[in-house]
Amino acid sequence: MHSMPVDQGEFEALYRMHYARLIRLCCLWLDDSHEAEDVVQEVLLKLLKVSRSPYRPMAWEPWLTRVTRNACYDHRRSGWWKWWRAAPAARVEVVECPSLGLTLEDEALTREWQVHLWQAFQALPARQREVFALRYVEGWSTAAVAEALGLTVGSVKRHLFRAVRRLRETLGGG
Amino acid sequence: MSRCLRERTLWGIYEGEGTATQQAHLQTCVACRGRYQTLVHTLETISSSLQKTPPPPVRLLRPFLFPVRWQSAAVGLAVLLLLVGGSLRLRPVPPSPRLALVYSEELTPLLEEVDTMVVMTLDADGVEVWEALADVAALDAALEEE
Repeated sequence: MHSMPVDQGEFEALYRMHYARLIRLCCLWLDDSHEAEDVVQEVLLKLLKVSRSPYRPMAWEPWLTRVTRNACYDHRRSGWWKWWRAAPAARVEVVECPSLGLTLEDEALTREWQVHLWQAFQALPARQREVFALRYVEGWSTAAVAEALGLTVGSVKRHLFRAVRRLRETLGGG
Repeated sequence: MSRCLRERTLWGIYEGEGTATQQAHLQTCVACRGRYQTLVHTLETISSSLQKTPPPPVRLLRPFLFPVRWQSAAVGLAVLLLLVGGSLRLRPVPPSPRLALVYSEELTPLLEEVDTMVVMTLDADGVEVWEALADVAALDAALEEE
């Protein structure tokens, strides 16, 4: 931890830099955009609190990711969320969401395939989702994922391989 | 190496962990190379889609914990109401403890009093009846004498 508070400009820069990334991570880990926004607001409040304190983390990206992951974990542990997730889905409603700079190639991906991919991803266990998102969506190294999640590198690799195998089986790519 | 590579090994090569022997096999085996390319393509497609495309905010709507068929539920509810209503009508209503207490403490002396009065009244009526019968007998005797 450094002993230097963050000024307002730096906080705004951190917000702009990480907001979309954190939203995406929370969507991947919680599968609900509204809850993802709530969790990211909590994380940003913690960021604001920490930024006003004399101490701050060495690197903001791993710190924010770790805080976000813990917030999602707390969210998933709540009784209401457990009930909501455990109940069988009656139907799936896809809500419009603003795109993040889609290319024509990305547009070629059909909506059905994206929903299929999303459902396959959400069917993964929580740990596999966390590991997969950090390794393949965020592009972190296996060691960095292990450090952020408090796991061994071998454990991260096991979760990663299981996630890849299950996704390929579900999506028909293997 | 003549045996084809396992899926885990192919994924390890993708992660940069393959040994020189495994890399050499991948270069020579057409089947393994095809499987490896499929794996890479699938992973890159998934990663790219999750990276560049915002995950569709899927809202799972769960109005009920268990699926309900309304017709079956209505029939079941009607049968339940009939059973409950029928059992309530057929069951004898036992006196409540409060009523039993009132009966024992207040009604019993009252009933005893009423019973005594009724007996006394009957006795008095009986005397009058006998007196009346005696009058009738005397009247009959007087008429016969005449």
